[in-house]
Amino acid sequence: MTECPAVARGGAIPVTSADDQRRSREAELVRRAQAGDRIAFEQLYRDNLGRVYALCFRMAGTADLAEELAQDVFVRAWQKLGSFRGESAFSSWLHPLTVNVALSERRSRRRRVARVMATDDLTVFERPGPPTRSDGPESGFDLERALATLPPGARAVFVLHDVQGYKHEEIARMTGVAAGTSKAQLHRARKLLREVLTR
Amino acid sequence: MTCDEARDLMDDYVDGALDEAAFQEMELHVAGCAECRAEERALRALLAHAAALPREILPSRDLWAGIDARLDEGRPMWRRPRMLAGWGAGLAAAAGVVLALSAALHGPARSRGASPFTALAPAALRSEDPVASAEREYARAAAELMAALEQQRDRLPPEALASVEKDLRSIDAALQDVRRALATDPENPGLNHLLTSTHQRKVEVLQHVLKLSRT
Repeated sequence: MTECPAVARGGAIPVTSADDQRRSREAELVRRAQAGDRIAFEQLYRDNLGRVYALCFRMAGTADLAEELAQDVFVRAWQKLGSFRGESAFSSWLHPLTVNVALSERRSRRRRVARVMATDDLTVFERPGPPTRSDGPESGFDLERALATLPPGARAVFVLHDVQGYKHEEIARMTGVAAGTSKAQLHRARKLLREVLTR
Repeated sequence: MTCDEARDLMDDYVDGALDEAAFQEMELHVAGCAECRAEERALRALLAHAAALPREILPSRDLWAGIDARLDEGRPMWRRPRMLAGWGAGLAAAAGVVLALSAALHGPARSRGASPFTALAPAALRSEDPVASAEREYARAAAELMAALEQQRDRLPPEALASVEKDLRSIDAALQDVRRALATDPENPGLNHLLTSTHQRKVEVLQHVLKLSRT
């Protein structure tokens, strides 16, 4: 994260704790961004890009699409910034927005094109190169790669439930499917992941 | 409980979503069945890895330029400047300078392939200190715009002038801060980018107020 030196200007922020300071700094950035200050908004972008991109990358499955989604998230955040009242941290406000952008893209893409990856055929999980076992069979790296090859619906539910910690009822509300469907997708995702990671 | 029944309940079991009776039944079965115990361990290991995935990942390139370019098109009406005609030739030239400077400051490592602006950058920018050269070019562009603004000054409402002057003071202070930070960390790409975008912001403010003065 790159600190914007302009943010610290003024020295009017009371020193209580690191967390309080972070919140005060963020509130000031939001206030300035809401007034149209792009420099402040850029700093908010830099502070939150890592989390937004991580979620987009896991939901999208490819870096190119994740970059597009992350840009959409911040453009949308800029448009909706006036509705942010500061009751929560900016990152907490940004999180459901990111999920919505990623899910909206998936829904619109599903309408546009036929699903080519919606399959349980495990040949899609073939490793592109020789297997690397230095990190162990279930390293984070392997899990990221395996995640990227899951069918999109199963991947979305796995990311939301097992990575982000949403409940099935919440996922059902966000995705517009029944909670039972969410559970079935999660079961499918876990099964596929375990199969590919133990091969 | 059979193994098939246990596997049907395995997700809810590891998620802690079973009622007490079903949970106790699963505990008993898993304790006595090596296959289902292995299944449970594999699932818990997967969930542990998922929970331990990094919360943050950075993309391979900075996305700000693409976002910044889209902020105006998606800008709420209450924040959007009036669309005005009449770009002066001097302003267009200044904008060109800013684009070239941006490319020169970011350098080829920050973009995919060679920047189309690199060839347009003034010779000064290809010298050994691109940041200092860029600063001079930005200063020149801003000075030209300030001079043009001076000539239009009496055509602007006093409150608009006061607001612009306040914005410019704020931007200049930010520039000073960035320069100070760069003095201690000159290779920091984020700071270099911030310097560029802050200069660009200053030029944008000047361009905008000039357009306002000409309506």
